[in-house]
Amino acid sequence: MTSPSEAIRLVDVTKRYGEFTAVDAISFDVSSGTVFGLLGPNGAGKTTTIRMIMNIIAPDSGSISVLGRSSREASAQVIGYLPEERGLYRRMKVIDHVAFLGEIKGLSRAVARRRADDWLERFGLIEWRTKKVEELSKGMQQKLQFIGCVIHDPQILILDEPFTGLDPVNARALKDLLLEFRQQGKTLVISTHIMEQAEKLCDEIALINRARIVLHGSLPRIRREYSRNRLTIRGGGSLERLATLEGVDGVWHRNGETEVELADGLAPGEFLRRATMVCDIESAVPHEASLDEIFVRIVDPTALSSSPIEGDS
Amino acid sequence: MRSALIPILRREYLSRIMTKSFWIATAMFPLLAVAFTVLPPIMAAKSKSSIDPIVIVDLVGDYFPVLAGTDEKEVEGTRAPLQLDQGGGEPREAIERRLNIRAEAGEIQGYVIIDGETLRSGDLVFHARNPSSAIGADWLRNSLRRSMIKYRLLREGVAGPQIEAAITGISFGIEKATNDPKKKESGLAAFFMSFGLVMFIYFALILYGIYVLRGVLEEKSNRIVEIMVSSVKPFDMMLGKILGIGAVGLTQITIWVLFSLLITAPQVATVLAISKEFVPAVNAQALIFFPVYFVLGYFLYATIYAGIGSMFNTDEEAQQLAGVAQLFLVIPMMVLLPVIKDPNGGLATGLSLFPFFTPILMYLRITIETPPAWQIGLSIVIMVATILLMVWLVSKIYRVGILMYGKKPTIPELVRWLRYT
Repeated sequence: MTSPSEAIRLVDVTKRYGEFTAVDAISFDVSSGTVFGLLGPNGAGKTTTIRMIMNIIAPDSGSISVLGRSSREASAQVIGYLPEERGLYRRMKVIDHVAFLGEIKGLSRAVARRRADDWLERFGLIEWRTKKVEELSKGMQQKLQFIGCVIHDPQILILDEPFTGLDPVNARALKDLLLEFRQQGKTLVISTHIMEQAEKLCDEIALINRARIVLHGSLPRIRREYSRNRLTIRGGGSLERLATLEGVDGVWHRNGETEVELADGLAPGEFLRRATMVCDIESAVPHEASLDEIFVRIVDPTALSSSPIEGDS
Repeated sequence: MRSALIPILRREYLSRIMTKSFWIATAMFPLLAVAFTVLPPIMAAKSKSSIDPIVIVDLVGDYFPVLAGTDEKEVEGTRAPLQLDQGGGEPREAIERRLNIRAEAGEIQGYVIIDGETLRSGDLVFHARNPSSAIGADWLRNSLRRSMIKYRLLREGVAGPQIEAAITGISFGIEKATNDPKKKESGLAAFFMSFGLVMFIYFALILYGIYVLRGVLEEKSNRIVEIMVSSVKPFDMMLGKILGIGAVGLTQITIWVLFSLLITAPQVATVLAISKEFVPAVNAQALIFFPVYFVLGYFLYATIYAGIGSMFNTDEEAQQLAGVAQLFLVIPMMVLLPVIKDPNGGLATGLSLFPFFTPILMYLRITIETPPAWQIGLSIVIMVATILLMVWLVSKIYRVGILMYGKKPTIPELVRWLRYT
């Protein structure tokens, strides 16, 4: 199979609703076979972006391609989409509903019913197959929605806040399943505002804030970049005085630890030598910026500037 | 992607057909219809008062046999048994007192006293237990009138057969002025049949329109639209729903038609056996154009209701605009009488060509007096054009509307939705 290396490509995509710009000249690529995190605060434009990829709404300008084809031709057949707003026809029978979701994706009736049974079996719902959807628990209904999203064996999965409302056991099961899909070579796009999940799952991310992409690339590289020149320090005495040292750009206190950002050109060894002169240092390790931290730093810098003790350089 | 239409249509159809409420509603309609048309006469027939006897006090002595001999075929209506009372030589007051007691005791419906004076003056009085519902008063009046004329003539020495020839019934019928024998149906029966069909179109358009509205609202409120629109075009969703519910409606109507054929078949057969004149109570055009205008009307209103459903989130919000749509069905119902009086006049012609009124008014005109063919053709062309326009317009609102939750859209917002591509 000669699929292009980009499963999804957005170029300068813009969508306006009247005066309001929901998505502003967004461009990013999702590489085939990766887990891609579409991150951002609520209302940033994630769902609008996904809806345009799904060809539910059309962009005002820009182009979107899915597996090398225009999204207008491709989307529904090759993408499995789990929307954030989830719903089911409550009075349908479980098996009828799942098969129906397969049929509207273009499966024949017989194939849809067979696959529906397979998936119900796999999710432990087979004894519920002739029950009505409304008789199922919320967790079971979420499983049905997920089945609806994968029943046509799509190359690409787009999941909008997939972990919302799942208990830890089911969340774990879903995560394992998603990783299994990646093993099969499928491309996954996960939209979420919960950074810890993205951190565990994603290979690449795009961070959207106020309708624009503010960060885009491979997760390890981004973390490295945001960890550069940063040290996490534990110690006693007056750690605040670190801020007074030459070459220190910023000091933050967080969870009993102190984080220090060094100016370019100041080697960690040199910094430590100076630091031990003003306070007691127990340990100093290169900082691993969490996605959460990066997210907050980009989305709301003021939230950070309230806590740091500014250096006087 | 066109193939998604079939599963959607099937789902819309089956999910409604396979509910108890569908079958209950389907069964209720004919049951109610039967209850309202068949039961009252049965109840009336069974009620005691109609079989209680009526006493004829014959003080003349030889009048009663003439009354009893009145030809049954000459007077229609439910007959009560007649009882002869010869008065027994009592004074009139005593007879009245005695019979009043019997009437109040519920033994008799009432009485009529015939004496020389009444025969001369012809002033008859029916002393009835329940004057307001004196059932059978019609046949009684006719019987008394005929028998008294006969009695008077007999006394004048006219021979029996001559009297019969003289008083044979004179009736007054109404018939359409036409040279086509098939159209010479009885006016009143045809009118009621047409009126029934027009009422049916009116109710069916509202009923199935509301089904469509509810269906869209339900999909919005349970958020299934999100899943649906990612797989199918909103247009297919809308069309699938309209066609599916339309199929539900046709199923229901078919059941009703079959049911009514089944229960009326014996009566129709009996009527046919007696006389062939009764048969086509309704003209052929009325039957041919019924499905045409019903289907066109359904598409027009179902599309409008689908659009309204897509704009709102709750029944209450949608109700206001649905009421406006319903007004377009109510207005033609309000001008039924002027249109019936002058079905080819300017008012009737103009209103019946307005597409939102066409299903009711043009159909009504067809059932009364066939309008010029060009008007029928034009009305169908206008309706089809309007339906296409509405489908185009509504599908634009629909695709934006179904994804909008929260507040009601304002008019400027709606206009903007129309411009989204």
